[in-house]
Amino acid sequence: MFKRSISARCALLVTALAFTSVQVSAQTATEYSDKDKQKLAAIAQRPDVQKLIADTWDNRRREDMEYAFNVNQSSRLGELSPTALAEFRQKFGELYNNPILLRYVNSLGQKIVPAGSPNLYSFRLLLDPVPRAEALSTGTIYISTGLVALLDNEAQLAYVLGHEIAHVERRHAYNEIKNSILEDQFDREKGADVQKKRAIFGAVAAIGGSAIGGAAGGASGALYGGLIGGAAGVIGGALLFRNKFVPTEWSTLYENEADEAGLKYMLDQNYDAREIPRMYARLDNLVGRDSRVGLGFIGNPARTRERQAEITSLLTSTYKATLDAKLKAGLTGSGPEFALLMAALKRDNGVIAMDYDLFAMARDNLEDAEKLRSNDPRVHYYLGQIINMTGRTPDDKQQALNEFIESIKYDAERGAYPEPHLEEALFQISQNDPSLQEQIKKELKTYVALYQRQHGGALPLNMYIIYDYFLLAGDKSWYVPPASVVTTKNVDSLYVTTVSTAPSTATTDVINRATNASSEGGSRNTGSQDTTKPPKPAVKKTTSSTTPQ
Amino acid sequence: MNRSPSRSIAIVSGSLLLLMFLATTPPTRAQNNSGRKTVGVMPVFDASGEEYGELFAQNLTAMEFRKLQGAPFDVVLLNPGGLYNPLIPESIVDYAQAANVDTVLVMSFLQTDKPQKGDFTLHVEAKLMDTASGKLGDATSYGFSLPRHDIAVEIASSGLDIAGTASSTVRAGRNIYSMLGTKTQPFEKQPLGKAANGIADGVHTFVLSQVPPSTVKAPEIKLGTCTYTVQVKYTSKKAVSKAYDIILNGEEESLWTKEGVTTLENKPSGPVFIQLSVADAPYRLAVQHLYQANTMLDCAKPERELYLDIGAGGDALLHWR
Repeated sequence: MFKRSISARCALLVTALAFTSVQVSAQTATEYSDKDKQKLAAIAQRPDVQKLIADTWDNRRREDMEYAFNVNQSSRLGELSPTALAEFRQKFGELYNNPILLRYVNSLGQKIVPAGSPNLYSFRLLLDPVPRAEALSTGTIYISTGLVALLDNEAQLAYVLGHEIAHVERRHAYNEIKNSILEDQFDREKGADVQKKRAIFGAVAAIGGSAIGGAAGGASGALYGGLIGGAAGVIGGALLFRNKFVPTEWSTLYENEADEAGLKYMLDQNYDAREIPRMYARLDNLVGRDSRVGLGFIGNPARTRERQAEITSLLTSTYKATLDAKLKAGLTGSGPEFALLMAALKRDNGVIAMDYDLFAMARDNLEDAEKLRSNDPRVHYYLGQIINMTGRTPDDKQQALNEFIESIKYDAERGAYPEPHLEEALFQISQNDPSLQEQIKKELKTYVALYQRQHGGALPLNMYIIYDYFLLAGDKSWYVPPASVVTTKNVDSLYVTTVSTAPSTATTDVINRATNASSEGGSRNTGSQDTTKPPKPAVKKTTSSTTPQ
Repeated sequence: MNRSPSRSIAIVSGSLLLLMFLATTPPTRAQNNSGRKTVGVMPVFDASGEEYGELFAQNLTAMEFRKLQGAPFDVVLLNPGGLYNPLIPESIVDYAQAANVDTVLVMSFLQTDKPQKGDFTLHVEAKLMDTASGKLGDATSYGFSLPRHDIAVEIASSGLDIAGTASSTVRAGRNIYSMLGTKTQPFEKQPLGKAANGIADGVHTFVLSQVPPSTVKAPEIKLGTCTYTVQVKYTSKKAVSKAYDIILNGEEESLWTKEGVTTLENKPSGPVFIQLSVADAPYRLAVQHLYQANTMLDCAKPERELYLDIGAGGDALLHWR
């Protein structure tokens, strides 16, 4: 799919002299008579039309540059407020911040670019669960993680990239603009011509009617004859002269053309083109189950079947000999890199799919990621989350817990994921088993400690809820102070980092400090009767004028 | 599910026809090997891209199966999964071997010739594959001309939401009836059905001429009735389907499905022809829109649980337990 500007989308769909160079199918192409072709050629030569085409194309290129610029700014998304972030994502998307995968997709795309192409390309991944791909006039090709996550192998990815390359190589964006303008102009002039003919016909009929009426009945006969003749002329003119022009479905034509070119490009690089119909079959299958999958690359599900059929037909006719010859020499379906990189991509797409409530996609992606890399704590945590969120039975809950425990296990040394500890504590709370209280407290404290380490000493935003959980676990006193900030004159708030004096941030130390404190009675709030010395906060407090973060 | 009376009539009339037909044919065997030569019938691959493609392909598969019932070998309907494509014959071989068939009939519904004026021509290509060697034989093509008006009328009057059209709900699966036709008139009587029937006749003759008859007699089935259950399992996900539509020997039996188990009471021994559509397949599992499978119910045997095991590729095998 190549990106269209709003004006181009709204414009009547297209055409012109390029018609002869474009292979068109009977259902979508407007058939022009020789006279019409001459007229179109004349329209195309007019300076005003040429200027309009040039201006619209310039606008498009400017829009595409701005779009690319905005997408590239997505690395600064962290600076935006949640609302602005959501708006930005919706408008421009967000680049997937995984350099190895970006390089892989880019190098695969560069490999597919046809030899001798005058265009320079850049292939980029968008972190977006909706399967989509688009090409800009800049030579930028975007493909979403949602689409890559659906693909089975490198050959299918090569085809998608090849398809997008074809839009740029064949200048589809420019041709659409040019053809739209020409066809629109042609339609208007043809319409005016028809109106003129109708007016002349009506006038002639009125005069004729008047003459006949006058001869038969004098002045009043002439009046009635004129009226009747005029009315007959209007009706007859409308019947005789009609603008039968139907605009061409250029988007369909260009998609078909890009499909075939994509097939050719991938075959040139010895990728197994028989994977294309299978890719469409998978997409069709998925769209049937979750129509949101069809919101991007695929569009109309009926078209998916058409495109699958077209490609199958090409593979069994035009490209049969090439395919057979290449099959004998050996075609590439997938490389080892693909499966390896998919582990990270499916995980991250699964996580973002959860954000968009694409539950089935999220679970499927995370399960796949788990199969590909079973020791990834992030995968286990989010898989536990989605199972927990959508599970119905006690077995589901148990499965979710198992995932959290796996996550904790694989994160034991790094301690980068506090949340599984909280989830485990919550599961144990739900068991209503007093013997689990110590374990619950330990997990809650671990959660808080790891969270603080990760957030510069700040406490979880819902710390008051965490204290509720402590209460449920029979602990009425455990308290941990929040991180502190110093405020100095004429200077904004500063986080205090005390590298040299802060306690070790090694995971085991952090957890031990947190949980040992518990066995010693933990830190207590001032209202407590407990006299145990409170533990040091993760961040040193340097002033009394504190602002909780 | 809201079903119109016309649908019920269609189902009942279809089921009667099917039962009459099955009653006159010798029993077939399921995916087991009794020493008889077995021909597996792959679902007709829809390469037409037409709105009516799937309807035609699904019905042609069933028709061909029925026509081959009288053949001097066993016939088994195969279900290679949603990603099945005859362009990749090597992907068929493993599945065919697992299904224990000797020969595989591969049919494709090709693109329809649609001239600017005149009749449309439907094209179907048939090939036979030897399972042991994995080699595909030469293709034989069949064409059937249909007045363009008939196809247009059929599409317009059926008003089909033909399989593949995205549902408006998040995850609703496909309607089994949309894949089998919704008219009161049986599919065989409709223009497309007549075309399918003509083509099925041609393919039937082709298969009989290519596959040598089996010398081993079919095992006899004792008369009797019994109760059995049907379940659908997603083996790769270790899950069971709890939402599927099922038609058994032409009769709608989905009413008897509870928690994924369809209980069929007092059914007579004999051939069982299942048409089934799942609505709760795991997300990326490429299931077939419609599974069509056959087996033999033998009430003298202890097995009473029939499973349709759907594998990692959406491929399915039917077996008794």
